[in-house]
Amino acid sequence: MKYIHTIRFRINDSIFKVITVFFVVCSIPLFFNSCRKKINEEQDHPVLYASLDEKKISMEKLFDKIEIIPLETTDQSLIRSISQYNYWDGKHYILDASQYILFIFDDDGHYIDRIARVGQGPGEYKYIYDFVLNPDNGQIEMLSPFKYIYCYDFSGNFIKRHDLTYLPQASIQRFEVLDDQNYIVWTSPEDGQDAICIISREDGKTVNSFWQDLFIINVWGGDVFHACNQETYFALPLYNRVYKATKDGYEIAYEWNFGNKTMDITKYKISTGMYNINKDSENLREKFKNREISYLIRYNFQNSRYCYAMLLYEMITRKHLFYDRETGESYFFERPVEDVKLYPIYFSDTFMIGTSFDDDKNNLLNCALLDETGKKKLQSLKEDDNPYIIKYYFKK
Amino acid sequence: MKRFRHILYYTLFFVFAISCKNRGTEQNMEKETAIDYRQLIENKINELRGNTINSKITNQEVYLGVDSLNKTDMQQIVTKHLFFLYFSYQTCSPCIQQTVEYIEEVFPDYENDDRIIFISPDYPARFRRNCYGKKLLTLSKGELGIPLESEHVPFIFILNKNMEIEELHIVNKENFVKTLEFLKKLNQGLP
Repeated sequence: MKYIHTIRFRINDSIFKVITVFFVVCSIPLFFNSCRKKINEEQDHPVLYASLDEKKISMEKLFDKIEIIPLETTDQSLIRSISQYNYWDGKHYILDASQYILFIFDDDGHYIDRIARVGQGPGEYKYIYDFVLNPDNGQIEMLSPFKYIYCYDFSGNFIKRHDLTYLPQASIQRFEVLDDQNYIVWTSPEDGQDAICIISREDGKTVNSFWQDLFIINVWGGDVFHACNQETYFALPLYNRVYKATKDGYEIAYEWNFGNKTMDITKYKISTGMYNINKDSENLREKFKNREISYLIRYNFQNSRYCYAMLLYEMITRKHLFYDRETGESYFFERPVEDVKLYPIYFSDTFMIGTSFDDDKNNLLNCALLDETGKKKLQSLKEDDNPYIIKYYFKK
Repeated sequence: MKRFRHILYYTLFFVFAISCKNRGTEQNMEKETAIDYRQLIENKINELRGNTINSKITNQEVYLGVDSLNKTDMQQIVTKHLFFLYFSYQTCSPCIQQTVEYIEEVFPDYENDDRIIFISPDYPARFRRNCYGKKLLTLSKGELGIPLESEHVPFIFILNKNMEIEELHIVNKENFVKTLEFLKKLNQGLP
């Protein structure tokens, strides 16, 4: 009996050793998988304390003056909507992604040129979602969601195309210049894929990739990138953090803290899986509409003086938050006392560019920051003219 | 103590095995749900179609492009031999683009073809002269007066002389091919 018991014990011992080794081997990939390529996630980072109690703020608190820039209306320059914007060397670069055309206007809004290479031939594209300006090599680079980057010179001549179809992600939605050697791109990743890839500007190869998250968080990414002082940042609408991206990964640049109004999306069950994305998106929209979740941060911008966030409430109402880095003061409002609608699309240290609204003319005409020349420009605009943009000069 | 350890190991292994099995089952359920969702869209489109067919649109003065001096009643331009493409400013551009590409495939000279009319009451005024190659039909009342307009999906329709919607196709971006098929059928029916 004792002998049988001993044999049984020895067999059991071996089985348990096998099972133990099995568990350890299976756990190793989980351990490595849980480590994102992140840097300094838990180290100290600036926290911007801002109140989401609306204040009555005059635009004169933030700006010295505003300027109306009508975008010249010609048959060649008709803009349906402004999707992306950039400013360089005294020119406005405007991408109308609905027409897949990049328009170029001078500082006063006179039409200069456009890149409209829709087609299937060499140097032609089907859709364009984003663009960057590369003054270093004199190129305009345009992103197709089908994973191509088209490079043109500033005269619109085609130079080359980067083929990124080797990337496993379904598409690329946005990109930005990371440094003089690399782009940073935001993709549509599936579960287990990285959302952000660093791509070499020379040969289009992947240098690095990172950021894994719930599918729905990534799908709601939108305009994730912005640049400031030659650094590239990214932020997602459902988080309160802004990250600085580098070739090696990312770190928290700063974090918004709205006190007891700070939203923590992790508290809500918003994901039921990648294959339910349409339903999940619908549910999430409903949560915002009925205020179960308060807001999402639609855009982040910054310059040397201000950090800016556009918060979207109930999927409709835009509210603006300016945080003054120098004083720590914050200004939160839907509209300033001048009742003008704001919609910033570009920040520099000197000025902010915003799009216009057809029904906002009277408020602008009554705004003290707009001089007589600007009022005349505004009054001369007709119903079938191109949209105009507004330049807001920051107070020195 | 040794017995307890044995039980613990067996339990852990059992739980691990179950979780692997369930993960496979969950993924299959997710995929089934995705397929159900496409069916949901199809059902919704069929419902919208059912509610819109035979609806009467509001008669009103209309004109093409910016030619407001040449207004006419919509009832006067409606015959059985033309069709309308309706889209909104809020409609996704690739959906409109693809629909127009199919129209061009079936009607290569669609830009000059008076049997084909584009309507988009909320498109910017600057596009009235040329929107995807056609002048937009401007509606004096700013809408057709049917609930389908609020869905912001492109749709193709034919009106009879009583201003009732006789034929209707709602573009489904999950199944663009149906739009092409519909246009080909239309082409056979138009003189």
